[in-house]
Amino acid sequence: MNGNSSPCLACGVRLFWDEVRQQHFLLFPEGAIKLNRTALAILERCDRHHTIDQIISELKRQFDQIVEADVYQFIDRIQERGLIHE
Amino acid sequence: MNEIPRPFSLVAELTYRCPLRCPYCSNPKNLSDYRQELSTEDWLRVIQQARQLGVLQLGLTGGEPLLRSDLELLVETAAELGLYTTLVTAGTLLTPERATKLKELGLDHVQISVQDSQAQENDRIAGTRSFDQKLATARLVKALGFPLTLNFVLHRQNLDRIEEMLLLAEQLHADRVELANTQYYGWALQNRSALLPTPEQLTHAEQVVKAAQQRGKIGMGILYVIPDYYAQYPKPCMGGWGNRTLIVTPTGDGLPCQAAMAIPNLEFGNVQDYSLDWIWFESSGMNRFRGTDWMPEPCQSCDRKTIDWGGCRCQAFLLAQDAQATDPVCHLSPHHEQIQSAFDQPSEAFVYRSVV
Repeated sequence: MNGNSSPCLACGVRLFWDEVRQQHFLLFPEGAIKLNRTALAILERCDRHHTIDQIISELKRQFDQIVEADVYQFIDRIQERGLIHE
Repeated sequence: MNEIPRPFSLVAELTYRCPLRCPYCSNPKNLSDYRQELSTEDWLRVIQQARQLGVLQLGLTGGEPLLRSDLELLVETAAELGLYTTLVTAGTLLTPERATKLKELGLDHVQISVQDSQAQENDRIAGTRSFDQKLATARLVKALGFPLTLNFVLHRQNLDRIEEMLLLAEQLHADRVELANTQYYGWALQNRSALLPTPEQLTHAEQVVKAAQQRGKIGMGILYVIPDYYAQYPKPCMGGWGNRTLIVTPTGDGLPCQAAMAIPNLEFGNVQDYSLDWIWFESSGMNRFRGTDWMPEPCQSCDRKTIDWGGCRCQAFLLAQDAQATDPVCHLSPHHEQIQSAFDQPSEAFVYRSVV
């Protein structure tokens, strides 16, 4: 994916706020990934309407230290697991 | 011991009734002892308690869970609580009407078992004609927009067709594939001589799986469950006893794994008498093999003790007659010759799952 890509969550993948653990998760078949605030902010914008460039600029407004390479690395890792796609 | 973690998964075995008769079924052999199934109210309470306990993943399984007419109500309740809910089915009883309703109610994911890539062999292993219906159900599930997992249990009598099984999964646009080498408990232990693969089959299987993983057509991945009789170290059974997963049987017993009822003198508690919270945190059975303090040598001084967690307690009991022993599949186990001798037994005909 590149800056113009507009990722979205794959079918059957969703975000979940766990009241019990006070923790955000990404849920998918037979799995759950704990999300920190930036990971959540990225995945909330994987809605087909945000390009990765837009996601990064919105993140930079919301958080102090956003490194573009880290955002791409996270998106690639989630894409490799088939949990988001273009 | 460290603080007890909360479970991520509840495996709800709604019933052990099933139209299939697979000779490696993971259900217990004394099927007739499980006729008094939990009521709808019991299951609704269990599902609510599971979420309060921290469960994120709910597997509705069996037997065949579609034989329960209250399945829709359970799915609706689970979805309202936000649980990620999977229907684990043999794929012979899911009508378009029921599937559509389950989708509307919030079911997240469907897993279908397939016994072989060839219709005739699938039907022979399942003990009933089912292959065509399974494929039709897989297509239905995809058409409704569910993610689809296909589960293949692997053994000597189908491993030569592992490539065809993976191609079938690709053709059906499965999102995930589980290739589970047979685990030898209960029915599968009884049929072990007919099911144990050859080393050549496993070498071939690993190459085929690796090639399919590189093709990358199964988007959410191919899970290959190792054939532990051939492994140097045991599998980390259930990710550790009472660590990640809680099972509830059709009659309401809470367990750390599907086979744990085979171990005598363990008390877990039944959901009709105890809360799921009590069963998970307080029951003596759930605490018996938690963590690492219980481990004997060679596990206790092993640097893999928090990787494989001593292996499987049920396997230790079944093969070494001691549930506390190191899993005999480990090459360091003093009982490892039990595994070696299994390879020397002549193959016998299948004994199909049945209610005696």
